[in-house]
Amino acid sequence: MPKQDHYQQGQLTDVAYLVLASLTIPCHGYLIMSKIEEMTDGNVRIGPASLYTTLKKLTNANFIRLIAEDEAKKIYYITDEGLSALKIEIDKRERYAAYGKWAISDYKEGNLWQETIRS
Amino acid sequence: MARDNKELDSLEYKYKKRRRMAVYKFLASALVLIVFFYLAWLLPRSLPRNLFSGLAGVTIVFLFFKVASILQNSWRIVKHGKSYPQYIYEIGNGLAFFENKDMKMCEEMAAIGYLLTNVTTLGFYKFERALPQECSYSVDISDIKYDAEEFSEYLKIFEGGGWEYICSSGSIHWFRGSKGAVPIYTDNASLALKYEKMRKLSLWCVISGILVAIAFFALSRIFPYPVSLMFLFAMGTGIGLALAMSVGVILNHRLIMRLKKLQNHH
Repeated sequence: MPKQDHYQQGQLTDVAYLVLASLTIPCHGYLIMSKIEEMTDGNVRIGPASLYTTLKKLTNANFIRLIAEDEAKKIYYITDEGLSALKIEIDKRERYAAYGKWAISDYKEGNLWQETIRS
Repeated sequence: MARDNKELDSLEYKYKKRRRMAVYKFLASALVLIVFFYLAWLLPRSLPRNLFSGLAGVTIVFLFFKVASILQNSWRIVKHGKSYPQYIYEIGNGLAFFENKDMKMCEEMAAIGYLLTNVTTLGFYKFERALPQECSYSVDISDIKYDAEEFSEYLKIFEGGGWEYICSSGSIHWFRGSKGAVPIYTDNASLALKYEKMRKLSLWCVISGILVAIAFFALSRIFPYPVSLMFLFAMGTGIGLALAMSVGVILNHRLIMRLKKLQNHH
């Protein structure tokens, strides 16, 4: 790919993150969609064109690689580079989630802003 | 095959609607033609005059298409407004501009019992008689052509997502899925890439249109008057193609920009 990919700069989109996480176990390309759907109880679904594009991009970024190939059945697996990128991404997302959880734990019902103005 | 009145109505209604639209477009383009001829007649013998003669040429071609459409739809209403042909050919709206319109047309055809079987290079959609059904259609533009090695892998992924492969035209592929299937694109980053490919294809059409126009303009200069008119018409066709496709480039470019803005929060 001629253009600079976002993946090298440490930015993984949601789809790339999910696909990369699915490939910590060697997997056929076409099985990833059903795998993600199963793991998220059908809440997260990925379209085939998105999946194919993401697989190509991740391969180009050297985050995943082909480990076996027989007539239309390609098996992908995460590389060491991909693994470290995934760990960084998981950390980042955990911090985001932790902040969100902390923020929502302080949330109180009612028109708080009126009290803030009064005090 | 069981026929009920609702289906019968829908085919005939469709043709009548199409004929009505063709008549409107015919009248509108006739008006445009008069304007172009008037401008060409007004101007002295110069380059703009040639340009307007060329544009008049395009409009005449367009008028011919509309007359053909009116005749075709009238014939269809008489011939099989009340019966079902095995195959129906439909003209697309232009994939670079109205992709959703094309997909919607295919879905409507499926609902009245015609399934898409092929799309020819000139943009004709071929439908075959089948049981009426609800389904959705999608088109993908990919790096890989239908005869490439990775194509079977590509198809396998689409099959896994519940999308049945129909046909290809170069690197453009058509798919059919059930009504509630997951859309083929679920993220904006990949979708932007698709429209970048579409923009590239449209840009090639613009370039080739300009090249055709230049070539025919040169030929019109070489040949004497009555013959040169023919080349000017051909030049107009090239200009028309370039103009139309540049609209396609702009539309796709705007779509890409919007999609990129949406994905910026990542």
